[in-house]
Amino acid sequence: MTINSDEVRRQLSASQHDHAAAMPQFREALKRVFDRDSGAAETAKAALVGVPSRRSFLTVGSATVLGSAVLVGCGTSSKKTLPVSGTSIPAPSSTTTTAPGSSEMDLTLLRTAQSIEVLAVQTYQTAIDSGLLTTPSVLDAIKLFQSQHQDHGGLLASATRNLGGVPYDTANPFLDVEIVTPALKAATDQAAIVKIAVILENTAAQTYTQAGGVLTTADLRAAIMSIGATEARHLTVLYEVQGGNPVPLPFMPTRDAAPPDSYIGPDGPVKVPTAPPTTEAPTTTKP
Amino acid sequence: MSMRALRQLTEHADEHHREAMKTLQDELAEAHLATTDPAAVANRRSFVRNLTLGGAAVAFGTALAPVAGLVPAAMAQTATATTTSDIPNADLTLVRFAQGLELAVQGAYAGMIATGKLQGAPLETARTFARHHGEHADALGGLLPKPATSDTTPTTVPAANNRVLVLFTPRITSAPDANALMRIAFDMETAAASTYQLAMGTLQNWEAAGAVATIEPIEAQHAVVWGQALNLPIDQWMPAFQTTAAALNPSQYAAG
Repeated sequence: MTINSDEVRRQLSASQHDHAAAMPQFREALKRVFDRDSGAAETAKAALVGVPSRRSFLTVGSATVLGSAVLVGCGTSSKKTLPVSGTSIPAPSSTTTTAPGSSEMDLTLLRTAQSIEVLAVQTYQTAIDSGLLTTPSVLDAIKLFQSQHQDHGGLLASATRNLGGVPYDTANPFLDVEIVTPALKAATDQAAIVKIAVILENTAAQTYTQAGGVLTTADLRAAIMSIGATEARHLTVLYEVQGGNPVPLPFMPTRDAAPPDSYIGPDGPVKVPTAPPTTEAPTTTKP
Repeated sequence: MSMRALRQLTEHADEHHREAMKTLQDELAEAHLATTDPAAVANRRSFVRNLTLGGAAVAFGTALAPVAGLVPAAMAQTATATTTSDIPNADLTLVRFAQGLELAVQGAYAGMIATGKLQGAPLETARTFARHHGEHADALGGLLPKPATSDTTPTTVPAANNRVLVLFTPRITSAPDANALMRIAFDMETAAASTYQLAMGTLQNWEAAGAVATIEPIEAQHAVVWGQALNLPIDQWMPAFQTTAAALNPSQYAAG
């Protein structure tokens, strides 16, 4: 094989230049998205919805709900005792070489995922009805995403039944109360709606990626990622609508996956929201 | 150019890369780990550390000879991965295949860039996505077994899967314009996403599956970008579900 030395030097030089130029932005992006102490990501969330800034592990009895080895996106060392509802989730093992999942967790993850899909369908309907999506292509995208989330919910319901469980066909109450409803109430324009969509799709995508390393069978993992990959595609479109980097990271993180408080266990939501979940139509643009 | 000179060039590039990545590995570890279990942290940090040790030297198919005399800006990967021994051999074979696929796609992007037909945003996109694929290859390498300390066999350098490369290189060399190259990129990313979907349904080990689950969405996102740039019908780049229809089956494309 002939190697053109001048071409090699040029490509290496270009690559180094690109890499050096990209690194500050990459670091900044990491800080913005991942740095707990910078406050940037939390500030943005707080300004929008008042989401709790720390995720926490649930403790049922003396066991951690999900193996720490696998919860790469789920939080801190602080453990919180499950306060209410009587819902218990069996705790799988948490060693580094023991698979983190369990059949009970499989059902929990499927039901939680379905609840997120239902929430997305509902939220997008509210967005469509609000009249705030004024760009035709954006409106069309949201409608398409809504129909796909509907399909996703159907697959998850089917998977849940196959495991002997009962599908959870209600919008995720924790995420609805904590994130969506306040955000929709505050939304006054298309940009705000798109921000809500980004949060939803990002939560979904990261939840699916996380589940991909927890679900106990290859079939379940394939099912979940057949959906997760599409949520990531949704995200890219929304990032482009926002004028941002359509593929900002080389790996899908899991830090912003649905928190354990939002899980739907065998007996229902792990944490009962403090307000009834309603996805109300946002106020129209103020004069 | 002698191989010695080429190696010196790539070592120089990798030195720059390592310098820039010094603090980034901790940032990435923090982003990906967020766990307090010391053993898990140590294990995962090793996983992430391998992302910063440079990618692999890419071996190009002979069909790419006129345009490829290119090697990504990184030296050969050393097998410093630490991994659980729980990953079965069948999974390791699949992980190696995926690594070779990533390197092949990275190499194909290098070939496209070398044609000079990509300019502006498509050129920057190709460079960015090529970097992503290099990082994917590094991450997958982190799952592979580390040679025993008593093993004096020279470390095998991961190489691009040549059977995958030859799928795309003839199209690259004969591509008349940027649109044709972007179409190749779209096809590659679509195949990659499909292949990882196939892998998700095959892998038995949760760690390997978890790693793949962080990569598959990115390949899907790459496909969206190219699909939109080409104004392809939306159903081609926004399917309701990721399928395996375009997958490169390891049994058919196993590296020679």
